[in-house]
Amino acid sequence: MHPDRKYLLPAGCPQPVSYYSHGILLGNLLYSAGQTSRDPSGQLVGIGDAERQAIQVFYNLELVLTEANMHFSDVVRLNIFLKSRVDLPTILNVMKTKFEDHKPALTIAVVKGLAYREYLLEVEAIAVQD
Amino acid sequence: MTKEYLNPENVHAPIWPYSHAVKVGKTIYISAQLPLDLEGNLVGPGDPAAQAEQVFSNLQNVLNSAGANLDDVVKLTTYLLDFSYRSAVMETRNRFFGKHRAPSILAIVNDLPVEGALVEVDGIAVVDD
Repeated sequence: MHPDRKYLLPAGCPQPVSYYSHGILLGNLLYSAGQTSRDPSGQLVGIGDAERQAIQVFYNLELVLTEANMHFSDVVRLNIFLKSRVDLPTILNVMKTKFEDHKPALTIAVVKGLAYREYLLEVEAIAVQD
Repeated sequence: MTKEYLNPENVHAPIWPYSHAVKVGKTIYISAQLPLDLEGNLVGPGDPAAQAEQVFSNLQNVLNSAGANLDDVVKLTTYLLDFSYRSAVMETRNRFFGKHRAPSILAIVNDLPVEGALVEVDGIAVVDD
């Protein structure tokens, strides 16, 4: 086991809905869980609204990065899972407001469903601190 | 840690705000490669073998730009639009990879991010010292 393994459960993030951590930090390497559109109380936000959900998802990802003393500019790989290709431009626009000019490796897949029926997207990341 | 953002000239320009690969130390994170030619046009509509050929060719070019090759892939993820494309895509993969057997996972998805795409493949590679 990595000597400095840290399980990340940032204060502002919703409690994980099942048995997982929001992130694991191994030295300067961070693996995040799939981030979802839940607010700090665990309430689902933006039902049927991809933009609102994407804002919450990237906000939660930011909390995980911050907990690891990292920023969006440290993300090296991003996976976006979404329910409908129609929502992709909206999601990428929200991503751009956070990532600005930073361009990680990216995989996008459209899936039949996510962990909860209402989720329109989930986003997970690998980040490496400079 | 030094990071390199790779967008080789022999692969189409990224169609969204991403890099084709990010190299961090010895590790290379490769974006999902799509069946798009150098101009970004979809190749082989309805033809999973032709699309896979383009996808793995792009993957190879991206790896080469990072000073790596297919032998360095330690994880491969293949996303397919339909199970019926499996044999064509796997045959192409095996031809590209030869003896190197990368840990792989295959998922059948509901849709892919580019209209008409039947397959996309991403991966992680680690180069030798």
